[in-house]
Amino acid sequence: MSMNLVLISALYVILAPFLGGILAGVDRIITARMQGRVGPPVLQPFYDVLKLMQKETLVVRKSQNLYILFFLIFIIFTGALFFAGGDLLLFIFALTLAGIFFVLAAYKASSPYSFIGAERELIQMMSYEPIVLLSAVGMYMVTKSFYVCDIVSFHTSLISYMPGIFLAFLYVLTIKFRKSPFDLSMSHHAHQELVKGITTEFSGRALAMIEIAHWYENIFLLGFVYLFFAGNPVLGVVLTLCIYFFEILIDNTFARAKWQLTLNSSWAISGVLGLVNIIALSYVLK
Amino acid sequence: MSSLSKSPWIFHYDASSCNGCDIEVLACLTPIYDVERFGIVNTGNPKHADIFLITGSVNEQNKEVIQNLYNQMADPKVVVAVGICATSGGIFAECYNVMGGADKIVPVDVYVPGCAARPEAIIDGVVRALGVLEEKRKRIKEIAAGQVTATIERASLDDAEKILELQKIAYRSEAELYNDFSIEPLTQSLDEIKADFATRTFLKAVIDGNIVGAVRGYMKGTACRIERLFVAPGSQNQGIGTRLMREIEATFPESETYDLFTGNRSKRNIFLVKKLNYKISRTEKVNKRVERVYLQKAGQNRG
Amino acid sequence: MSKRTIIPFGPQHPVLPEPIHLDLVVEDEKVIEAIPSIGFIHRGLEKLVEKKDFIDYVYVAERICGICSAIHGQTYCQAVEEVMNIAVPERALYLRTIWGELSRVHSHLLWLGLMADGFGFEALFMHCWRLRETVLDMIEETTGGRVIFGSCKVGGVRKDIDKPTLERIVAKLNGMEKEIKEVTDVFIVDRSVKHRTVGVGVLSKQDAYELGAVGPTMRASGINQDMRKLGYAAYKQLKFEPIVETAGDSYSRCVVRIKEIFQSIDLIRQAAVQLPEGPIDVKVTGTPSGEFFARTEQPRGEVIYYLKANGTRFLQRLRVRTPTFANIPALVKLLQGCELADVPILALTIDPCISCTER
Repeated sequence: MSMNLVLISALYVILAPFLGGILAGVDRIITARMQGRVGPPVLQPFYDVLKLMQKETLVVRKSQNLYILFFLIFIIFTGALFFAGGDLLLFIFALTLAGIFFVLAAYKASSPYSFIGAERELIQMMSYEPIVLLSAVGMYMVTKSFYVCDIVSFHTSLISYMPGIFLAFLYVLTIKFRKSPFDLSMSHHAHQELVKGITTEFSGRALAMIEIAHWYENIFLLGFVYLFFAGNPVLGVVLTLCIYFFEILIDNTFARAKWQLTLNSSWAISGVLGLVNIIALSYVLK
Repeated sequence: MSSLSKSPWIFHYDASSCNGCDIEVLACLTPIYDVERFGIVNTGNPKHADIFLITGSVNEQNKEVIQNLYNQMADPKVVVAVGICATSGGIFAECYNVMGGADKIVPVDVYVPGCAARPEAIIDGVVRALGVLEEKRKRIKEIAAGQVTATIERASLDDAEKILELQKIAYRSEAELYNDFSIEPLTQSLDEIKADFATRTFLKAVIDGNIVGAVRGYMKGTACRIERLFVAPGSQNQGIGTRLMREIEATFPESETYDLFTGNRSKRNIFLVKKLNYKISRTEKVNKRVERVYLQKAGQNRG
Repeated sequence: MSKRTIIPFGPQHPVLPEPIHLDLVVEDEKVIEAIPSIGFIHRGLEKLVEKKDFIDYVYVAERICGICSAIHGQTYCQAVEEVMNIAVPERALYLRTIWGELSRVHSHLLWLGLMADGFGFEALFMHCWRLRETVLDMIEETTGGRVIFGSCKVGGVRKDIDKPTLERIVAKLNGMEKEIKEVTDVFIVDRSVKHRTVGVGVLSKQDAYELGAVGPTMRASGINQDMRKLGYAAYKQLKFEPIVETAGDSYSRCVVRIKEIFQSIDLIRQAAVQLPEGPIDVKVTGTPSGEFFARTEQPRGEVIYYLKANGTRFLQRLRVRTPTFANIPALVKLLQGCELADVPILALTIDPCISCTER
């Protein structure tokens, strides 16, 4: 790996929480404006995290916060790997591993709400895994490489080869960003049936770590979206931000779906759009 | 202004309220009043909240619920009583089932009168609560840094419940050293500790009205037995243990010897009393996991 | 073999602002049984009639519930007036009707907002409550209070609404109708909302009748009954028909309440036109003696006030049977066999007002 890639990776590790936090702040302001309100200051997520660090930490079991630490570490590792131009498949599996730590932490916390939240988180993971894998396969078929650095430097934007996969990916992106209609396991909105779902039993520093982990995650997810448009960097960044705005719009125009609808529709769409695209590619690229 | 006042998360409970004040609390989140501008988020989870809004005159059934919710909140925390019912019982104060306001159960920091309390008044109350929250945060830091001196005084029967509660919390770490949770300090009942008050002298260490440590002692013949010395986890390493020891010794100046015991793995306890001139007299195996070390010190009076 | 867990729902619960405790016996996110545990809001205020003068008691009656407050006060006054044979002036009756209908509009808008919040559609919740604020402004302008009106008293009403204010209110309501329609259309048409409400929690006409459901819960299952048709206050002079749907699911209950909002606005218009001149109250002398049942239609259904007086200034007995009390058996039936994610929706769909129920 060249020095450049190591540098980008290091920049990611340092800057992503700041970028992620500002993105979260902008998210809240746009959401508020859509609801006819003013909204918090843009730096609000940082105030929230700083405050959480100062609060007493209450745990059900001592080990639950250790798992959250692993979750954070693996998320950072996943993102660093991605931005260092590494292997996509390894990236996907590292991401899954991080998610498992999150779920394990909730199981350790052993309250009815965190159990159900953990189950729903697992269902969410099952819903988006297929299309993420299909995306990697599609990208390999087009660029002949699993490495992010090769995919990024490919001469054309991948979207022109993989429109079906991209649309299916967009569908599950709502799940990954934890936005309505697919914010089943935890939500930033107060009123839902699972109290705070998977994060119910975490407080203080652990909750702060979860929040920061989600910021890191959001940044590399947006990076993954960018891969589809990498042929034209400036347009790519603009489109990626537009996609994020689009997700916020979706969040505010849908009620929460039940898990059966989430799982079934994700697989149906991933299956149809994703597989059709892959098959089409195998003919086109002969 | 620290980040605590910039990100106050509220949490609301209706304790026998008619709903009027609760609706107004929810109305604070809606477009016209929009408290999210101040970073206020209505979280439904006590573990995530800083400010506890209680409405309603509080009936018997809600007593335990409110206590439970208050205990689940992480420090620093404030309580705001919203509406005249939560302040004093309101128009229902004379009802048979009503306790008469939130401050009968938990310490309240801000009272917001009104029937129903207007959203503007509630927001005003929450802003005042932020000031109180800031003060509490500073105080907690000071206590943790050892800048506040505890007062040592005699404990009375009224303190029994609090002392037992603290004893169980403080001795957990001891139990973990031996992986034995059946040790006596953890299994003592309220009646047993109350009976102890008759035969033993209890001393307590107090900061800001909260008990942070205790010790007990009694005379057996010419020797003074000292038992159950403990300090709350948040106030350790500030010399409170040593002060409690000195005070209890001073309470029985006529003793020939001072005796106490602790577990053989409790290195810190042994270190503390050794600094006070205690020497190991013998060891005894209590069960498979726990072995006791007995220490003794000669008294001033060697009559 | 799947495991059964018991999920404690409440009493502190982010979805429902009121404390009710349900032990949900759940198997794989399906609710087998719901065991309610109530009593968190019981204040015992019926016994206060022995301590508070019957004229003053109207303030306690209003505070049985903050949302249905106006009509509680109104029903109490009606019951006392009947027992004492007081003829309330026409103007007062019309004013009570107007405030009652405004109260219904605000209550239904509140409920719509809570429903939206219940299925995770926060934006809709905000918009419903924003519209409700306009209604509350009107109420505040005419009575002085936003949720507790303090407008009814034994013998009439305490405040008057003058002609310009009334015209302004009607004009504003007319203007709001379009906005309300936009928001309520989301409930009726939006696919993601319908996914959570259509076919969920079906209460058959037979069940509704046997379990004694009242109000919109009952009317959504096909039973044509509305207490306002009894003709109390000014309703005998106003033209309206009860709104009935037949499907009996959460969607129907939603639709009934939405249509009732527009019906209420229409009733206010009619009342404003027909409002006669005259005094707004009569002097009340003497003490009540006798017993009487008063029944009115609250936003949540039929409320019954039974009172017994023995000739002193303190009533001997007051008993209030609120609509939610009658709807709870229906709720327990609905919860059996539902999914965990539906529990808050079903609980909200009967428009529970626990403080009314437990007094």
